[in-house]
Amino acid sequence: MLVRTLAVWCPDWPVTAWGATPCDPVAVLEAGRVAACSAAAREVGVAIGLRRREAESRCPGLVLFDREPPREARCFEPLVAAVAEITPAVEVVRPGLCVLDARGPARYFGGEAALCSTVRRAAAAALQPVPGSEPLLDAVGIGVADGIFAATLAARRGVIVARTQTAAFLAPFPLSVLGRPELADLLGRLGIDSLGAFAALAASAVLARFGPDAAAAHRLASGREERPVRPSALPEDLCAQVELDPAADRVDRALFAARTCADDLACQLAARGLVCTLLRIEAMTEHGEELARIWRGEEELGVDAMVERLRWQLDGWLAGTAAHVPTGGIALVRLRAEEVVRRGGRQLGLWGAVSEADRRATRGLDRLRGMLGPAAVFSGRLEGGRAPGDRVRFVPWGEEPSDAPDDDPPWPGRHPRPAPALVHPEPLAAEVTGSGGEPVRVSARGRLSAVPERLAVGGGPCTAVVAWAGPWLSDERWWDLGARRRRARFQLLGADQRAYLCSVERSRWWVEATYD
Amino acid sequence: MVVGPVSGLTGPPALPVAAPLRGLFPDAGLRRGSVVAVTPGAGATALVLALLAAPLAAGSWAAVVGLEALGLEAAAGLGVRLDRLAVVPEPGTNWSGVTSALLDALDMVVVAPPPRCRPTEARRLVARTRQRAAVLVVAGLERSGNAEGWSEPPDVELATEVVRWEGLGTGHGTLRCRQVLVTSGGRRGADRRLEALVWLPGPEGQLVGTAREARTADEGIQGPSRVEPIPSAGMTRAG
Repeated sequence: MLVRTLAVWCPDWPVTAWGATPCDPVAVLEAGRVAACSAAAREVGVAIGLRRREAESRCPGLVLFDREPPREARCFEPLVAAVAEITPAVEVVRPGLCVLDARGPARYFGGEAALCSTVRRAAAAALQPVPGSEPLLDAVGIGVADGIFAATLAARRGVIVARTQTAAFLAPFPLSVLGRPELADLLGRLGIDSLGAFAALAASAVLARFGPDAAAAHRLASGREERPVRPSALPEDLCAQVELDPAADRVDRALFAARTCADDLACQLAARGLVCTLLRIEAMTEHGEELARIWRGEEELGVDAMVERLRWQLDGWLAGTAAHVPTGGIALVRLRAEEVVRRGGRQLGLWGAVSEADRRATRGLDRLRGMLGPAAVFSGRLEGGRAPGDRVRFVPWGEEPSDAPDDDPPWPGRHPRPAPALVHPEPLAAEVTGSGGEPVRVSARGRLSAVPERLAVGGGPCTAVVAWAGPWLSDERWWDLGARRRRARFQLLGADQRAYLCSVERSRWWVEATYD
Repeated sequence: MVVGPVSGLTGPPALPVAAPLRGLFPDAGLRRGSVVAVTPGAGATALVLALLAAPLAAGSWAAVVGLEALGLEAAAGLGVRLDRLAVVPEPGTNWSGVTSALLDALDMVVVAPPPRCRPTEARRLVARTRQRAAVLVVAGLERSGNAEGWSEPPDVELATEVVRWEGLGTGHGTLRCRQVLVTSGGRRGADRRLEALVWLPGPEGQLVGTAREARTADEGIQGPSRVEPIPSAGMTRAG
């Protein structure tokens, strides 16, 4: 039997977190694509998934922000705190959406409708930009239904779905609300376009034909719980805690110590073959204040997901956006698995598991990033490009690169392998002269004024050129007058067996890279 | 009672080294807790990258501190797994603190110390390397006896000498592969001078051994015998 659930949903939360109102044309980008947009932007055709340029062309004057989940979590914390005043068992699903068990509070407040209006007032008051101004009652959607999935959809509509009506309420929704795009696409081609049509299929047939994930989606669509069995009672108290001495008043310091706590809990869970779906984060300050918040995982919470929730939550508490700012630093962090499920199909391989060395390295590099700032430690990725300097991109450690041009498509005019071992961030000035000591020039058609005979790099001594090849002309970005670059590249080998990749641009010689 | 060499019995196993270079090291690998110095010169950067490849492939993590011009495409060509390599191009004035923090966490750290590094910093890094059983590769610095500069004697000292480049003519061709003579010396059981003649990089960017791999310098690789045939593509894949 599904629990009556009340969902509090803030539309376009990534946009709201940036302080924008629905009337501003605002979009939030993630990996170069629109991840969320305001109502005003949606009206003129901006949609989730559009590329940046396409979104800008549909809505001139569109204000763009980058997605920042920590900021979204921080701004959401006051709302959660306000709802937690009404009933303590609030579960945060993600920034912008939280749910609570409606049974007890509904009886206390005199019915679900009364509970809804109480929660709405509290949530809207927490969101209002200026204290004392008119609360924006439209800024939150509240809905009550059986189960989290249906309640979330009810919150979007702002309705209370009666006890036995869940399946009927869900039936007209499109399949996209299931959050499984491939399945929705496949079913769409089979002529099934709504949750009702999907739910009408036999459960055993769905499982046999589309697999366990689709079977879970089928249970959701027919108004039942996603997992057939959910152990309500925990086998034992699964929790991990760490004391911070001295108490941490900054997120990075608290997090560095608390990461071990998440590792510990994950090990306990893994030893029992369980994964956590509901995580309770508790903290105690040095003055004895107790803070607690519950996070519900949309999927199973692994170590990284737990640490991410922990970071968001500590940030929300320590950044002082919450209604009750703790008066001291955090002295104790405790993580408790409130709800667990049996670990599903994925069995980590004997060799593919994360080793102790991997964990140690990740921790150390995170620590170094905290020491030096985010733009000091990098990892390199290969990507498409022609010159050696274009083919490698340095990505700040721990970040996923966005929309990298692929290495796969052919890059005509790509520099021949092997690649040089030194690629100078700033090219070194060079002098290349012919037999008479005159500088070698290259005409627009690639004709040389003299054969290169002598080479001096960066004002150093002259060496004889024993072998050379080129010019390879490159005319990059000719369509963009500001960024256009015309260069002629050469490989030069000195008598000292040092080889260089040189380029001539505007009659000046540069060493771009050294084959060291 | 038989007393064997201590090296095989103490501490965790050495980090692996690519086969063509294996003979340069007395333990046939990079012994944990040791310091390797690579003398600057033509081919030194490629040698550093070649040393990184095998440990990263075996699951270790590594970092490079202070080499801002490092060509990572060449690194990938030599078999370095870039997802396990952290790069700190500009560590700033606290370069020794950064290196020390990395030695705590990673198996292998390559550092290019600034020319005016203090002897205390060098000593502290060597001590940290021994304590954490990591491998420290010191690159791009002449060893000097005076007060400034890297003064600690390394366990293994590697030097490169370019024998010849192949593929580039006068006005035609492209650089294809390079034959490099790598020599090693040092103190920890590496007091004999060892040599290895390798293609670095080989025709497809990787490290390829020649028929004449590591041997002591007395046996010598002199005169015309130094010139090895260029490995064919077929040989390359097998290697």
